[in-house]
Amino acid sequence: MVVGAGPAGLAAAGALAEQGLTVQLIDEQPAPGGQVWRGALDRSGAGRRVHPDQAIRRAAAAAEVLRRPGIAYAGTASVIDARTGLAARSGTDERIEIDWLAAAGPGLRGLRTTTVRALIIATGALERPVLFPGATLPGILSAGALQGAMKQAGLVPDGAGTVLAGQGPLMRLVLAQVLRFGGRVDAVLQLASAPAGKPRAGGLSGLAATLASAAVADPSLVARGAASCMTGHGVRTYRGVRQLRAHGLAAIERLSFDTDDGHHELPCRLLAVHDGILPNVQLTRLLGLAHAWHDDQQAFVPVTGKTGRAAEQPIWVAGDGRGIAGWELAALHGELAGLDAASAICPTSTQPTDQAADRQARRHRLGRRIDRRLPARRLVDRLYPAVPIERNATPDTVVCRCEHVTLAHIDAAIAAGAVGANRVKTFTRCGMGACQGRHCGNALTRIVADRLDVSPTAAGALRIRPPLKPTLISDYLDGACT
Amino acid sequence: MKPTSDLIIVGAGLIGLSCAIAARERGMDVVLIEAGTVGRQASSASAGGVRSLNRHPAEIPLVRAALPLWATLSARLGRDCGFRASGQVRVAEDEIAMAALEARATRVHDLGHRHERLLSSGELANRVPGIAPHCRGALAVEDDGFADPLATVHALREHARRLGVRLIERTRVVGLDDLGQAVVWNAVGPDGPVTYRARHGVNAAGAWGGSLAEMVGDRVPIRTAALQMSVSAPLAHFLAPVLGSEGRKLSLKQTAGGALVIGGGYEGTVGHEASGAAGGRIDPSLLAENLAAAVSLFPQVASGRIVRTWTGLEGMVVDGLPAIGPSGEHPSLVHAFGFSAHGFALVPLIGTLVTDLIEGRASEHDITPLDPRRFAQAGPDRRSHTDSQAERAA
Amino acid sequence: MSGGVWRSLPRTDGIPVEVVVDGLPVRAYGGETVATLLLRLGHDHFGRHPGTDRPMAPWCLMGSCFGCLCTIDDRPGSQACLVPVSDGLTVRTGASAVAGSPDTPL
Repeated sequence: MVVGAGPAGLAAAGALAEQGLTVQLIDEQPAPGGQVWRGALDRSGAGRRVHPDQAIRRAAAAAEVLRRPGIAYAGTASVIDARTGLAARSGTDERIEIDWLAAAGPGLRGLRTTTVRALIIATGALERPVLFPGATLPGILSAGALQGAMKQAGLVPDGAGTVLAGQGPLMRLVLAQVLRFGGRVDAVLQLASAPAGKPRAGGLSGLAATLASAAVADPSLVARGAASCMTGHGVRTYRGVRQLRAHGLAAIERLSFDTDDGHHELPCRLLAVHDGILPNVQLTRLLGLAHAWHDDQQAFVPVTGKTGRAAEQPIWVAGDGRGIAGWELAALHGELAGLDAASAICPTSTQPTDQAADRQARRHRLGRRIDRRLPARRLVDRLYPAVPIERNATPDTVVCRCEHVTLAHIDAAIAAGAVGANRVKTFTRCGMGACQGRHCGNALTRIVADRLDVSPTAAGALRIRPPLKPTLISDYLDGACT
Repeated sequence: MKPTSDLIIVGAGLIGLSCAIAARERGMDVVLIEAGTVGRQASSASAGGVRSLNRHPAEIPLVRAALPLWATLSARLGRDCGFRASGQVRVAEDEIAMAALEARATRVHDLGHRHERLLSSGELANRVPGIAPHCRGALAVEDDGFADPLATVHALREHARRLGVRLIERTRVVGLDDLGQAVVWNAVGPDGPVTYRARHGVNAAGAWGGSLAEMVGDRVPIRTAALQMSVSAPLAHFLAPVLGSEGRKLSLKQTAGGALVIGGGYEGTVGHEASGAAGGRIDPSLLAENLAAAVSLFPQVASGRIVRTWTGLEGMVVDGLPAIGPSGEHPSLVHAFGFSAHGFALVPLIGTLVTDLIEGRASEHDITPLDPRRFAQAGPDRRSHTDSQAERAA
Repeated sequence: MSGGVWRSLPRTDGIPVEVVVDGLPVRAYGGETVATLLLRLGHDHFGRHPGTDRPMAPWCLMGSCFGCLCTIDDRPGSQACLVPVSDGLTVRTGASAVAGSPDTPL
């Protein structure tokens, strides 16, 4: 099974099918393509024109795999639970059982259990929220959501009061896209991303070294990045923004914030925020895979080998889910994981030697192509560190939206003896709501690590339990096994 | 070796915490050793039923004595345990079930207890408005109720800490020795082997209580079950008492916040958690069966959403009754384990029972049927496992 | 409703479908999700938070924030951003995300 039909998942499914394996590909979005190619495959979609022609061609080429016999694709399908280590019970190869909900179409809806020999997880990334007072007001979206609304449905911000706030390359891309399609943006707020009073980790010399190696490895990416840095598109840009606050009664009405020049207030009806993206680790956590904290990405990342395989398990992670790296690397990861999984399931001893050698050579080439692109990704990480939470969050700032847990609640729990993320969870209910920590988990780890003065690894991450999403009881009652 | 304490309790679940508090309140110096983390196993998988309804006769007087203690527990601990005297209702969904409830009502009445009352279908419809019309009647106890297991764990732990109970987590007892009158506990903690010494010991090790008992030569036939629980997102309030169903496994209740807590003794797969810690895995077909039982009583439950499912390891003694009493082999060890998925109700009372035993005081409660030495003689077990299952769901 | 926050790019093609939103029929197009449809119609919030009764609105539009919950085809708590529009689909907004609360049918 391949979970996720973005660039990584499509490539993985293609590689598996090409090697003669049957694949169930599922994705919870209504159409394949992941986030980067959202709306690119929909010919009649109002958002298709937002994609450059090149992107549309790439998306179409990637989605060609869905025509292959041997690949069964299900959209609007979500993983609910997964179980490993079933070899002893089945007496055969290592087996993984996945419970997933297919929600498409009347009569087709229901919870299914599929048993497979290998699982490739390509569930991509999530946006990192910015914590600030008023962030839960209607009218505040992530920058990815704004871009997604454009790509999916051709929705463009209209009229006065649109503001972008955050840091990272996506901000510039979204700004350019909104303006190109006739939308209006009143201001861009560059959120201060160095901790107050602290120099950037590694200093300027470290940054220069990273820049140099990136320029050598992938000059075109660096050039494109430099070009986009140059222009603010004539939109008023504020730098070094902190103490961001959204005000309004039923929806956002205005913003206030501070810069070195003083205090500012802006009318605002639509605010798009961005603070980078994080690997989506819900399924990898549910499966109990090991994760390591990456300081540069300020996130937990599943621990995998070069091919994306989790140690000792027939589970691979491909794409942004194994470390934010962009769509090109995601596709390479996916192909590599697919080939590796095929080799693992059909060991070389049962294969004609030339096919096995060919697979081996391809994996090697893919590995080299991946290695070449990594320095540029490291540059991106160095240039765009996460916004320190204390720059904008106040005690009354909501951290867990689902259960309405504020920073003050979390601090009280820590003061009362909660010594890790999961203890804070049981004290405060932070992370126990519908999203199971997708929104608050990263912040919770960072807050606990900061308050207890321990590493994020020691602070821990929220334990994830099934169901991965709140599941209708009626769906549990209509189940089937495949 | 650590200095001699008055008492070492093994197992920091609800039972162990309750014993620790009671002993500390009587002036003992108490060490509480826990192999994992506080309240992680059966205590977290409890449905939270405070239930004298459908109880084994040996436990009826104990639970009836525990009920008034539940009413004052939150005030005593200074923290809300979420106790509500909502009543417990065991529904009969067909004539066979109704006949079984009627037979039980007679038996319990003959034993001299008056707390269980039969309800006709009309009385049931009044007592539980909106219940599915096929229900024939029920057996009910008005002053039973439920509490919040997680909140109770928190409250007990904080109280124990305030009283000065020494809690040691991630430390597993691997052996037990005698040293004169003292109990010597050999354990393995995060930093390696460690030894504790105490004048008295309590085995509150839950699913591991049998292995601990074996260290001194006591035999309590017990197996480990991974009890499954599920909780829904909040629904508009429609249910006050806790519901069970005669002939089915079910515990269905709605919390003050509106969430449905659904269990009933369904067993998942025992094993290690994904993280390597002791635990269990949900069996999806049993989960579906559990949810179907709830939907059978209230069809609108089908539009609720399960937000989380989890398991906790519980010790199930072969005759369905806990082992509470002195060790047959060791002069200073008291057993309090094997609550077989229905220990929650006894939590406020168990501390008193156990400390009476430690101090050699006569208890006002008769716990002879629960004596761990009942398994000591060779020969067939006196009750089959399947008989006790019918009376087990908490 | 804040009205006018969003504008639609013109559509070159598109299969129209009829969706019923809070009892009123609305034209939608294949490719839209219930969430983008509601935004286009000017809904600034889709439901209310069960604990605080505060208005809830989408944040991520990709299925991870659970801000877009509403009742779709009589299923309370559905993530509007993951449901594609289809002919005859029904949507009810504004309710507490508690199923069966007074302003949603059980």
